[in-house]
Amino acid sequence: MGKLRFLIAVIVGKVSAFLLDKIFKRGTNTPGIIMLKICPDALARFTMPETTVCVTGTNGKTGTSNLLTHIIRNSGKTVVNNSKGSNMAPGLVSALVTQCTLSGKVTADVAVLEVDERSSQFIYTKFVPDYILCTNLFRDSIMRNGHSGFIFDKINDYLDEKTTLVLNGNDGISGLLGENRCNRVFFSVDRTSRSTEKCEDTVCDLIACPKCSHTLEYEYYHYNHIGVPHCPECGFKMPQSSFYASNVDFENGTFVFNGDKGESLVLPFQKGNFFNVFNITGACAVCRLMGIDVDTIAESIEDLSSKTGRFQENLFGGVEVVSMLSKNQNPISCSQSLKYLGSTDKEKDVVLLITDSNDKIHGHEDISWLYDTDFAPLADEKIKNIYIGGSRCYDLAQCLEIKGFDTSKFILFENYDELASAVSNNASADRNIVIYFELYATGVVSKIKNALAQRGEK
Amino acid sequence: MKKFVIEVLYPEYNNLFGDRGNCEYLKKKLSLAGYETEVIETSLFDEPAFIKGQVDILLISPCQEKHQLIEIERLKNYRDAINSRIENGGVILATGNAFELFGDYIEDAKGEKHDCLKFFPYYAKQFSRLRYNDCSVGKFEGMEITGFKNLLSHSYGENPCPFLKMKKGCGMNKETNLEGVHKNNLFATYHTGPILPLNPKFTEYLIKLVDADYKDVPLEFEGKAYEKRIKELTK
Repeated sequence: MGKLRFLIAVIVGKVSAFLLDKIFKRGTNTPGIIMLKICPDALARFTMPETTVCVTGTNGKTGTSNLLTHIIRNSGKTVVNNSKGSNMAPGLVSALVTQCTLSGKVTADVAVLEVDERSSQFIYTKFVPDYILCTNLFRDSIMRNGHSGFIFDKINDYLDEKTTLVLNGNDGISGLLGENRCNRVFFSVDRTSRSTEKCEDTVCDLIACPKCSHTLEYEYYHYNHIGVPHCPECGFKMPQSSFYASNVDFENGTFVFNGDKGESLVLPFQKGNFFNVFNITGACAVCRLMGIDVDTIAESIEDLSSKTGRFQENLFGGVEVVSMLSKNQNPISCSQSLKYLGSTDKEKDVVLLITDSNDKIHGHEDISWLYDTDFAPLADEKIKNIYIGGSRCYDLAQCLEIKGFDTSKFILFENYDELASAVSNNASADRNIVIYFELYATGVVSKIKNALAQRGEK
Repeated sequence: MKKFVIEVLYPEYNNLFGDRGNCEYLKKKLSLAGYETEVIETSLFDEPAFIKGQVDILLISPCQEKHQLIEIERLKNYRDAINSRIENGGVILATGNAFELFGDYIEDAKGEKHDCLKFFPYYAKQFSRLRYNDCSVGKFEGMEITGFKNLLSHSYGENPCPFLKMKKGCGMNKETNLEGVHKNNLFATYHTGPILPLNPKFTEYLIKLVDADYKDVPLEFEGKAYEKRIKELTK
């Protein structure tokens, strides 16, 4: 009966995926949702390919899984991934059904699947990944994720001992996943010219030793709790990394990847995006464990680095506009994005669209995360105006006021149309416009850009 | 210039949900009113400052559930001192799951009971996997207090001195509108997040418990932020 249900689910899934692709020209989770209704254990019934890699963690999942997919494809293998759908069970099912036989045998050589941390229970219990790459664990959206310990347990409780974990050796939180249970391989980044002796960020999610609760010491910090911790009381420290990045050159955007067999590669990373060094190093570690040769890895990363960007740059009537996505209610992502402000010398206006623009649907936003965010880069004297938009504009303005910012620079709008007009009307070719926006505010960013484009045409 | 001492208990653990905003806000408000502020951060293995020295406000913020149990064991060493502070009118603001420290016990998801400080008869029960989120409004002495909740537990049993009577959102569990605990100048609430910046009038009230002569200087946006939230949540 189960086999028949799965067969029907696969047929329905394939047909719906085909039709939806023709109609919407993009991937959706609908085939997976339908399939799971017909056959709730569909994910467990696929015959997975020779190699399955899952990518999870708070920050960097999408970029890392896209990079992995790109490298593995360049190595000559076929890959199925869920980049067009969600990173929860329906998204994975939707991806797998597009590349499987009617009996559910996945035809691709490799599956690279991005997995939402909170979905671990519904995924790792259905099939055993060969590798799970965890980029990091931080505090994230409060309402969804609570705290890093809560998410750690959600992953750790469902790991299978046959899975090899590829873990961030600079992260004393995710680095404890699967301890004494799974085969674990670590990657890390050596001290850089920007490493610090003290944590300079507002938030450090690992201050006390996870073993004995005494205060940890850090040899250095990369950012937040990412660094090299050790406990002077009980001797806790992170395991040795088999793969590591060294010689990070922020000026030229390069670093050296060092492998477990003594190999080293000079690789590019997106300037201003230090996260990217970790993501590339983690992805390279998995590729090397899979036996992919270093030349293929080097060529693939070189090729991809020129095509992807953390932010968009546009020019409207002589006004340079930079827009940067800030992950919703994620203080670490937002803080790291704001650091970009320090890397540009030009005068600028900043537009903050970082609180939920869709709260009429999502409900009243818990704005607590604002107090965990580093807004220090907004103190830059070259910032002339700070536009703050949305329902929670007063909360953000109050938070910034408490943190000591000059409120005379603030221009608040609850209404996004009025904000777009004001940004456009006040724009000057002498100043850049830097827009920080959350996922649902892409429409507002378009409004601002359209207003600027129309202004440029006049 | 009058000096104001704030003690933050166990900041290595009690740093979740933006609650650092409470201390930042107090510092800002006190500074505007002409006070000098000293913030003492006390780590888990250090003796709390309020035991031997003058502390005007003691802040205890939420932490991870596993860390909560570690903290309780430490705090049991200071149970008498905490009791004296409560009875003598020392100001304590405990937020999030710090509310549970003052109760009878915490029952974890596996059913195991962990004794708390036992000042009040209520007890907490942790959920297994899902967290409870809320944006809520309650009343205290004519003030509408708003805040956020992000919990893996609720509390049950007798609560002889609740802090808030909820207008929106639940009390210490879904079956009651009574929330938190208020005895003398102890204010313990399940509300997380920066409850003080969210509630300027309550902050003024709290500071005046320490110094009745405090003259509040409002921040430019705090009133609008508060009023808009109350309006949205109570409409």
